Amino acid sequence: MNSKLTTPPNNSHIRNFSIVAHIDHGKSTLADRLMEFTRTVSKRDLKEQMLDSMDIERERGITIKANTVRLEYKAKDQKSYILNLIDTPGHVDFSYEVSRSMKSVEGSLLVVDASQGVEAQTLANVYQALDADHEIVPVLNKIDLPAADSDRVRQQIEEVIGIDADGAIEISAKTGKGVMDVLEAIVHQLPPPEGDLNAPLKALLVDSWYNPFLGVVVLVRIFDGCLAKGDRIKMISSEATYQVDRIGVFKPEMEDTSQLNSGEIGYFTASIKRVSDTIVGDTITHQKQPCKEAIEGMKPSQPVVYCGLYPMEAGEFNALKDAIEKISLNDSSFTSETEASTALGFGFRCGFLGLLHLEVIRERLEREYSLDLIVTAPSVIYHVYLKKGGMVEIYNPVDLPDPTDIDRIEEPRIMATILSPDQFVGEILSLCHARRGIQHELSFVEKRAMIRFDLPLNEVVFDFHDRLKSVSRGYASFDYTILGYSADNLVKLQILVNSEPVDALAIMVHRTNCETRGRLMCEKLKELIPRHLFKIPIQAAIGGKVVARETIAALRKDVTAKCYGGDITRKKKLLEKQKAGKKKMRQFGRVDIPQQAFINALKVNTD
Amino acid sequence: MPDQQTIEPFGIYIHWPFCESLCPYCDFNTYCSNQIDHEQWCEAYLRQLDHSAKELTVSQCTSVYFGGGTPSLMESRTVGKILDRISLLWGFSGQPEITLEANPTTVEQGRFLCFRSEGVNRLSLGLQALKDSDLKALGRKHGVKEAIKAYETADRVFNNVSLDFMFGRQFQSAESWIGELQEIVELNPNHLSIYQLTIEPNTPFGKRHAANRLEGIPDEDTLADMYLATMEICERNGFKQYEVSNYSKPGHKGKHNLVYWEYHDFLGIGPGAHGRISIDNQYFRTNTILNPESWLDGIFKLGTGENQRELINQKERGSEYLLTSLRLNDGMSIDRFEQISGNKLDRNAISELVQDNWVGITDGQLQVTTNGRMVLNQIISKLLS
Repeated sequence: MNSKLTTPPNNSHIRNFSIVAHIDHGKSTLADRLMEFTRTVSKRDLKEQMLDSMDIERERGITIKANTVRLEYKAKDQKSYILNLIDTPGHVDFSYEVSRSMKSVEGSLLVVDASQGVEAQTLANVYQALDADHEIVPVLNKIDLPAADSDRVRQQIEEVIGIDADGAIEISAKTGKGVMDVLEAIVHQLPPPEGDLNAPLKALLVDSWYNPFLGVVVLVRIFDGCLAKGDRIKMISSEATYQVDRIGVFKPEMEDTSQLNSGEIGYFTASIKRVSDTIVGDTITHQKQPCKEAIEGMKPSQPVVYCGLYPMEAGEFNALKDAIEKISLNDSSFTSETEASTALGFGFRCGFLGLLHLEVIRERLEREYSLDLIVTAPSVIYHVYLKKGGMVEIYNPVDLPDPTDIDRIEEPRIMATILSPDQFVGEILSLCHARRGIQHELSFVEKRAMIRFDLPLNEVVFDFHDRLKSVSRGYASFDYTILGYSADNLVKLQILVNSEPVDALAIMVHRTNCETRGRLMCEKLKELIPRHLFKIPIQAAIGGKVVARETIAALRKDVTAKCYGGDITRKKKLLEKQKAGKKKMRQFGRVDIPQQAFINALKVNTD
Repeated sequence: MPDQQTIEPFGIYIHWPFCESLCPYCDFNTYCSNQIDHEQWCEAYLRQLDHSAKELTVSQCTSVYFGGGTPSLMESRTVGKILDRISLLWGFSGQPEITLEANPTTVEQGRFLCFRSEGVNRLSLGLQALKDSDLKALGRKHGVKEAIKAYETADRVFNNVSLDFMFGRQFQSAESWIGELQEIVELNPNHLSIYQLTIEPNTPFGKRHAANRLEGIPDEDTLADMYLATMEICERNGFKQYEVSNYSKPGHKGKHNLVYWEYHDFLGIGPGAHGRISIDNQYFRTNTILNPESWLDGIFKLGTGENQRELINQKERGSEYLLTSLRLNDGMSIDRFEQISGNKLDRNAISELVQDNWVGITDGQLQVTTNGRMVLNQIISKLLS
């Protein structure tokens, strides 16, 4: 292979592509089949969903980091082709990362479950593919299912997405039926990559991750020129320079080569210490002979959702700190800053690209690092304009300036796209209205509705997705894009337990909702906090004004009825168990608040 | 009471593991069997006693308690032989309390006189309720009329009877319990044990409860009302509470159970019986093989049905003493606690609890108030943490 690459390559044998699909529509299974059919991986070595390498990715059926594989395929025309598949993150939280992956390839397979049809997420990703000028090959998967309805889904693709679906390939990734047709379509319908091998190096930084043995591994697409081992390179945006140590391609294991040429996709390492030193979307060029222009569209990824992460036991703070640092090594879009809460002690205020990102990080901290965490209510970033002029960004409701100093508060809003079977439209509309939504579009294709709503992100970050799934019995799918900031009548709702404000329970709400939300939170806390030896008032307040109140009655009876010879040991164990249970609580003043209460207090069905 | 000053109480618990039928709330080590070799069982108890006497040579026995299971299903001569052997091995102190548990059925009351003549001087009758429908729901085989007759017989025979009752039964209201309590105190026994029905996890009730199929269990507030009423009504009728669930006429506290709560040594004999013994100033928790057949095997092959015993360290002894003695109205001796545990009691925790009227201190005894008794587990947790 090295000898092949020393002569100027003719890119006509290369195809670069990605797969666009909704969760469960079979993207990973198809990727597995493509590897198997091109003998990239023998069937014996194939573990299910090869490209999703993290446990959490495999379990949730989502892709978080871009993965790539180089397939070598001998087509029916008897020519050999190199097919580079980039498996993109499939979730709205990572839409910027998706856009960079899309930018690095020329075409996409649009995989739609023939029994389910087009989903909101598919829509968002396919638009990104169209934005990147992709050639798109529609593929109908799961045609072996009895519920498959190819004609209907074909029509749907044409009407909802607006692309020609006449030539859609019918496959079953599970059985392998039609997979050869997909390979042929990649060769014949997708264009080869363009680029000038003799021009100065211009490469796109598609993704990067930390490898404990190699340091940071960078996934690149070469547009112009070539990148070779030993080259001195420069990242245009970060202005950092490095010397390339290793270079190669994924098959899907890393395989070293001597260089990567225009049109190719591969990796390099260059003794880069931290993932945060590499910015997804950056342009890589040679230090001595740089390209004239950077590749456009780069932007640093910005967290949009924040929450507090605290160790269950104060003694675990350092363990949490270490774990957060380790995860940050590999995830530059996850931010953290130490924070002190009067209720919870020392912890971190962390920023995430979205709710899924938050969930994934929380799960990794708990699973990979065996930490017991308290997660506080997610919050968005508020822009608070002060009367004396100037604006402060508020990441935590606790930091809100004195209301008398505030001119106005602006909050981020999103455009949500919801696709659902038509019988749930009524419920979904009332859910969106209850969340302060403004309806933008409601259209129907056959029995499917597309609903577009302008919604405050604050109303979505917590349990909107759960509620949506529940009112639509799991059928509705949802995606969003950030619209920008706008002012609204927002206030800080404080919760007082036993007359003391618990900072970790403060949330921002719309003034018209504050009584309802306050009442529901108080009611929920009454269920969540166990009875104590004294009665505990729980109040919700805006400033000094109490808007809702509940009381937890004092514990009246907690005594073991029988305790004789043999029971003494048992009884002692019971008390020890109780003590262990107490460790799962945080003492606040004289009140023990269970760990789960900090997040569950918000889980109220307001809709 | 001079002999209590001089003789350290030492009790022996004999566990008979068989019942005619199993009650759905009971989580004691009990079995149903119609093939019991009484000779063999009798021999096993005697051998175990012999074995134990080798290492426990000093104390005189102050009480024996035949529990179960249903020990009134034992042959009375087995009871007699056991008592003779104890007398031979340790001797009895002046007035030993010999209690036997019995079910108030017609069959069993026919045998009360036999037990009396073998040396039993106190009968504990499991009446549990004075409502036929509730007895049925509790899986009891007796009816109210039959039970009262059994009680009357027992009272004539022993003149020293304790009755067991339960509150917090399915669909029970505080009002109906108060009415029932009135009938209970009118029976006028020497001693009453009145427990709240406790749902134990590994019982049919526990399983139904976990599956939300045990309906009508009163809520915490109702149970609190029932317990308060129990204490008041007993007090008003001359039954002095001396422990969380125990009430007695003057001079009739259960001596054997006081051994547990006042934290003295006791021997546990029989499948699943527990004991607590001291040998050369070391303290052990003993337990026995649960399965009746295996227990017999242990005795006939190895001479003992005991499992590996556990050493109780000083700190544990302190917390066990606190845990059991605070159940008593007389409370816990602070001196003795500090002597047993080798630690000072947390004075700050105590003064906080005194301030909030959960406990009081009289003559060096730490005692819980009625309020404190209602939430005793919380008080104990606070004192132990």
